[in-house]
Amino acid sequence: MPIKLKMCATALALYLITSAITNAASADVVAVVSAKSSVTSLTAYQLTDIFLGRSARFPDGTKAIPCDLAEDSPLRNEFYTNLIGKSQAQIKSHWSKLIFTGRGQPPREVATAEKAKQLVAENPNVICYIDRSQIDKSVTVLFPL
Amino acid sequence: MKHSNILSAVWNAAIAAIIVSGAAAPFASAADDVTKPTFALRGFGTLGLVHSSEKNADFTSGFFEPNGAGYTRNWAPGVDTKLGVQADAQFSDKFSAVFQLVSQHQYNNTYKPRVEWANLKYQFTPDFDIRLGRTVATPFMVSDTRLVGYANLWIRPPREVYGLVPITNKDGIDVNYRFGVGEATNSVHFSYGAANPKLPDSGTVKAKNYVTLANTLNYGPIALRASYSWGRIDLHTPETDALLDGLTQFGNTVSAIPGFATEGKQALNLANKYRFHNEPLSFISFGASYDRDEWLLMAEWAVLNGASFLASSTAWHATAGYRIGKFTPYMTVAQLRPDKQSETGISTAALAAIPSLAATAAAFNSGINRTLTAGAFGQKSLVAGVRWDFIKNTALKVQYDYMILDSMSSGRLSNIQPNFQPGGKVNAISIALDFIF
Repeated sequence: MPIKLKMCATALALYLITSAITNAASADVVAVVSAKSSVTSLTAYQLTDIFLGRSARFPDGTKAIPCDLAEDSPLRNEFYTNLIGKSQAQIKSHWSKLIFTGRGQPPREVATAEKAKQLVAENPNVICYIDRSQIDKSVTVLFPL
Repeated sequence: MKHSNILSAVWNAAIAAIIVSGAAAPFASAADDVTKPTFALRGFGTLGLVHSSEKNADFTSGFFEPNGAGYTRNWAPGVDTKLGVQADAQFSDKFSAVFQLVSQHQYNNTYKPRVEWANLKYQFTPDFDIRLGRTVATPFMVSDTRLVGYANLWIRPPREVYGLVPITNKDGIDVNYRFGVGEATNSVHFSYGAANPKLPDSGTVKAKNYVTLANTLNYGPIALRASYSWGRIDLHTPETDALLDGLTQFGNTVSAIPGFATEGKQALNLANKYRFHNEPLSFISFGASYDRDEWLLMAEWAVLNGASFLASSTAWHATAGYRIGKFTPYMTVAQLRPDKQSETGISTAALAAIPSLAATAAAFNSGINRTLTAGAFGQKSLVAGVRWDFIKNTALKVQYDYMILDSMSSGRLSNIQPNFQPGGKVNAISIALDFIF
């Protein structure tokens, strides 16, 4: 019995260590809205449509205003690569399509993830991405759940 | 005239609005507030060079460029080089304006900037807007970014398909509405307007009652599009006008000679038949694209229902690109197939009694048939290239075009010289540096 328990504890410790390492290697980015928002989840396609300017609404019909971090932010790179599945160059090319059609404007940029969280918390229409470690009661995680 | 008045009114209103909003919120771009009025000045451009193996004709960007690579220049910068500057003003939640100037090698052999877009937009809801003024003409899948090299994979959209409707904008109104269908988004576009771009050698095109209805369905990486356009077109070139005026004159002269009324009537009917005035033209296209991770796939199929000497034509292209880091090699196959057209013309048998009349009639018949052949552009091409996104906002592309011209046809080549042999094979190399700012 004690041996089994010890093995379990070791396995758990190993798991925690490895997951901590993976987390450190790739910051855990999540898309969030204000806790005041009625939206509770998004699918990958819905998230993509909002951030690529193809949709200006959440699934429940309320207005969705995406915001971006500065272009050199690692979190932004992370967000587009992992959650949207497009490189920065692809995103640039995509927005150049919409901008030069007068079809839309890229999301407004905010300076830091902390400011992004504040903006989200204050405005139920704004959706942005932050690091998982920043999550608190003021925001709701929409993706990934 | 009426349309240019509307345009200048819209333009003035836009400028006034930009100035007013600029005074209220000068360049609010850094602001963290996502709802304030903004003004943005952006641009796009291409520096390009094209070399073509056909020395008796020019490889050009299309009907509006007077000369290009091959006959006129060994390496032509004008085919793809362009500069566009766009001002976007957002006055309020609902009200915005776009003004775009584009400079490219045009009909009069200059790069004089022209107003590509100048419109005011009213956004009734996030999914429904109306624009008034000069807006984009949208028969094709990438009509919106036809001039923005950076937004496209190729150096230029396949000319087989995109050459079918060379007009890029119209003065009028357009309406856009989109709605969700499950996880997909469906966008409906309608536009109505007029356009009258100028052609080289004092040719003119006038499009009236130019309507486009398009529907685009986006589902994740997949986009499906269908469009229908219709318009009344006037098309004049000095050559066709001379031919048809000559035919009318000949018809009147011959009709006056006793016994030749039938032949005279034939000549007058021919002149009326081919007079490119208020001709109904229509265009249908279907497109599909898939863009995910490494792959970018696209295909379009289109039919132009022609009139007068402009042949009805079918065209398609299929394009595939595969991203490898900053490099995207791509390939396109494309074909343009016109309906064959010919004319029996004036019957010369009866005119044989007066040899000079018979000879003139025969000359007109061959003139008409030459024009019909010239108006039936046909070619296939195989395109291979690579796009290199080597620094931010800039892409370098190198592209090879292998074109097989239909027998009797000059394909998409223009500025055809007397020594040109129709139906050849043409190799072209293009280099382009695309940028946005």
